[in-house]
This record gives sequence, C-alpha cells and structure tokens, in this order.
Amino acid sequence: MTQKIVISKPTFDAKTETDPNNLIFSSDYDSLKYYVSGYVDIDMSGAGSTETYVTHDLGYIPFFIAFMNYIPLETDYSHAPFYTASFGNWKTLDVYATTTRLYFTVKKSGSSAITWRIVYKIFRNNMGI
Amino acid sequence: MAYKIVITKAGYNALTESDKNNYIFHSDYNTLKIISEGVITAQTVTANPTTFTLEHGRSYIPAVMAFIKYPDGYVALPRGIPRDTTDTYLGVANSRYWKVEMDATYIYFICYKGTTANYNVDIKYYIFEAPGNYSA
Repeated sequence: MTQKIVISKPTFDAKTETDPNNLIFSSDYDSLKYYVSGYVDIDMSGAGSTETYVTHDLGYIPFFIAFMNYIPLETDYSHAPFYTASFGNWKTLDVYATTTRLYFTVKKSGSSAITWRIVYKIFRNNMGI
Repeated sequence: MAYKIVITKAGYNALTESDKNNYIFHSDYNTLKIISEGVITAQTVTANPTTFTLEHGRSYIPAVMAFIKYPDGYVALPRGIPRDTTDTYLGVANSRYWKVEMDATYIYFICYKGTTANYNVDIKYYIFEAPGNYSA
C-alpha cells in the first residue's frame, strides 16, 4: 500500500475523496516551491529600450512569474508580459528565463520619464526545456 | 476543537503566528496542486496562427500555465515575444508571439510567425487542479 498525506477541505473525507479540487493538500501532487522573489527598478528618461536581469544560477529554467507598474503614470500592478498603447505612445515589458538568469526587457515610445518596478517570483520547479 | 497542520518558516512560532505569509504550509489554506505537466518539443510554426493541441483529460476547463522556448533559447510567458525581436511598435506588429487557450477538452497553444520565417519552439505546460473558469 502506498502511503500518502492527504488533507481534505471541510466536509470531504480525506480517506476517500478523489477530486483534487476538494483537497487542501495531497502528496500525490507536486506544487510550486518558492526559490526567491524580489524586484528591480528600471528608470527611463524617454523613448528607447532597456534590459536588466537577476541571476538565479539554478542551472535549469525555473517556473517564474512577474508583475509590474510604472511610476508615475500607472500605480496599479499588471501581470507580465505587458503591452499598452494610448494616444500614439506605447510601452512594453517582456520577461525571459535562461538557466542562469531572469531578464526584464522594457521598451517605450514618447518623452515621458518613468520608473518601471518589476516584481518577480522564481520557483524551484524545473521546466525541463 | 478543529485540528490543524501548520508549518512555519524558520524563526516563526507555529503555535502563535498569524501572518499567512510566514507559513510554509497551513491546512486552513488551499494549495495550488499540479495535476500534470509536460513538454511539447520541436514544434514548427508555419502559419498565422499555428495551433498545437493537447487533450488535458479533465472534465472541466482547468487552470493552466505554460511557457515557450523560442529559437533564441530564451523562455517567455504567454503573449510574450522573442527576446531577439527587432520590431518596434509594441514589439508585436510583425513578430512572433503566442497565446494559450483552454476549453473543457483541450489546451491550445497558438503560435504566430508574423512576417518572419518558420521556426521551432518547445512548450512547457502545467495543469492545475483548480478550474480555469468559474461557474456558480
């Protein structure tokens, strides 16, 4: 018999429930495991393209997500990648992973000065690609 | 008395900690479970769009996350364009990009080549236990 750790949601029986959506936790299923999170700021004084990166050095491509805003024009956070255009001006953010780094590439038109704040979360899960 | 299983981060007391972000695990809170995952390798994008289809085997629309490795070797999120894109306006006007859609049977990895040449991609997908849609 295979041993398991199962915690069901209230009213469900951990010994018999088979729908994983009714379980809080089951050792049958993998989950996202945090490695590191943080943020980078990128200042842009006008139109152009800028890239920066953080080093993770995991040796494989990890699961990652990122969110961003750009001060002072947009204080709400959005999920990356991000593309927007308004009145002829546009802004973009792309995020890329390699086996050693997470890259953040921002581009914009227009003369406005902004600071991108990009919040990233890297997980230990190996993509295997 | 309701029983709980609680594991805190180092330096916090599992008996008294109240900040959820200081828990490694807490049985009061659901976890995002990976039901299945996989890699689709060496797929060739030949049209606008080229759609790669995967039967997910769930009876509902599942929550999905996926990543793509472009020919430049960099891995991007859905809607992301290749890092070596040279287009300017929004970076996508004539560029390669991709998106992910789901229904109750399939996951669709929809790739565009813009005005560029055919290219190969690898796709990594994760299927979670939680439904990707909502119905009351």
